[in-house]
Amino acid sequence: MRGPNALLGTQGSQQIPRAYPDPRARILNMILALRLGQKRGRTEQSLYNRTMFSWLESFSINVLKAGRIPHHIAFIMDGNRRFAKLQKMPPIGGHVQGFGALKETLRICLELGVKIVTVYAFSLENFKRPSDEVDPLLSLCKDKLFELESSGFLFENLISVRILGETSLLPKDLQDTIREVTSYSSSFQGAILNVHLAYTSREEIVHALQNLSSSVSEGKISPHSGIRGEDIERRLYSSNEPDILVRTSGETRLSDYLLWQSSESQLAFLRVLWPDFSFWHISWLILMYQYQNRGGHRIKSGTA
Amino acid sequence: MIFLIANQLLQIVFRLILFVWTSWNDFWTWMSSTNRCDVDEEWWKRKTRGFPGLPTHLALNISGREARDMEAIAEVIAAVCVLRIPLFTLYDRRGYLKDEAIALEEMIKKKRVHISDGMPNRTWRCHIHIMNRGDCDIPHTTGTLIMIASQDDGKQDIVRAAQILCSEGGTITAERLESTLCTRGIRDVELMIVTGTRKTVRSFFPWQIRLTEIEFVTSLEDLMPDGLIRAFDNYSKKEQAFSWRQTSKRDRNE
Repeated sequence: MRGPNALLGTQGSQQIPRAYPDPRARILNMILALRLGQKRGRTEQSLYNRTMFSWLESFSINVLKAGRIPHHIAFIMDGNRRFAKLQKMPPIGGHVQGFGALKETLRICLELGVKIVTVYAFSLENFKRPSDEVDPLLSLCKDKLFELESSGFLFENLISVRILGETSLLPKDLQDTIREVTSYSSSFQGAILNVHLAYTSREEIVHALQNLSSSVSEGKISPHSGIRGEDIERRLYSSNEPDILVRTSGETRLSDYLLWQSSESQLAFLRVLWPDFSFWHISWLILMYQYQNRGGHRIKSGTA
Repeated sequence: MIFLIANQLLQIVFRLILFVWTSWNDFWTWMSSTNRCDVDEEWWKRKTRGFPGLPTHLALNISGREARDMEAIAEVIAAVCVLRIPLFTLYDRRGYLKDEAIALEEMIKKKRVHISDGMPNRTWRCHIHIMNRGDCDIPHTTGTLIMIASQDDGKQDIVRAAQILCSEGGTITAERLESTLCTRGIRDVELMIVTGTRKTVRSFFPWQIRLTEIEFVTSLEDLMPDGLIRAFDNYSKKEQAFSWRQTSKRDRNE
């Protein structure tokens, strides 16, 4: 299996050019990202092995942590293909960069004290795309899940991975990897990473109702007096309500994602493409969250 | 301790930046805003002539405080009727508008919008329907159907449908669920405008906002009339909206 080197056409620590549709983000990153001993931009080395924050990032993290930190953040990771197009690379290259952004986002969230990170990785609607686009993407999913486990990232950060969705529709090798990674990380209690694969919110609600119907057939619940909203919530793939739901790439719709769970979530539609999502975007989101939840005006937070 | 002080300072700076930004936006909006006396039916038609298409189901999700501003809401409804948008959902979480529907109707009449009285041979009219958990009989109308809804009509409607489907038995599918909801036959919301400083959908119908474009405006005051035009402009630029509208076949108000 070819590694990311071949996909991106780079070797060693050669810099990977970044797409900056938003020049303000580029300038801000260049001025503020004073990473000691590290080159600017996401080098191939830093994609996978970056462990240090710059002094400014560390200071900012500590400042943010002095305020209220959201318990659960959900991300719709949109913009990978557009990023690849801008960079004149194959679409899968955009997804590779997107994975790097995910890993970095995860590290930042852990450092800030966010306990649950939920991401929308693959929709049921994506199966309608051409197979030459879907197959490499699912193969990349498998590789990256395995890499998360084998690189020690999950163990070092005690991240429990949960894969949510109609996973029976996924290729067998991916299902095996999912089983392996989820069982490996099931005992970790540092943080939770929910990855939605082969998922749509409507399918999730219907799936919950099917489970409910089975419980009714077995006589555990009375159909009229016994069914409440909580009974449906308990049967969703995940009942955690995100404090913040973020969508990148400038689109302003939920695209059948967490429709039930995000009814009271703070929504953030950002123009940045997902591979360009950085520490400063997260800082902005946390600041907005702290501003919205100042004093007694608290938005209902997610429950474990 | 140092970080706590720094956090408080950062919050102050952040609020200052927000204040300056919103004040600048408000000033610029005021400078370029349309004189409301000039806004009439011809004005709306002229402003929207260049748009490839308007949403056929528009929703306005307002905060509890703004739900008391009947005049501003009536102004939005009048614009929606003039633009002949077939479906308009007016939503406030607590259901205040449901309680004050009669007052709202009176205010709409003052805007010279014809309320449907069942008389035949009328031109475009608007019909107000208050959504109720127990009553799913949404009327047909040849004009604009204004549905007044609250949070009881969203998740609770799905719970009600679950009770019916579980008692009937059989395999539950998306189609069966959709046909059991009170909004059966009504096309999904295409554009939802949310007012207020908090960017949240406030428990709006979860099943119906799958592909809804969401626009945020600071207040109802900002919405009329230029904010509404901006929302339609942004909506018309979304290419996905057009391909979705072309494939959607469900609309009781054709």
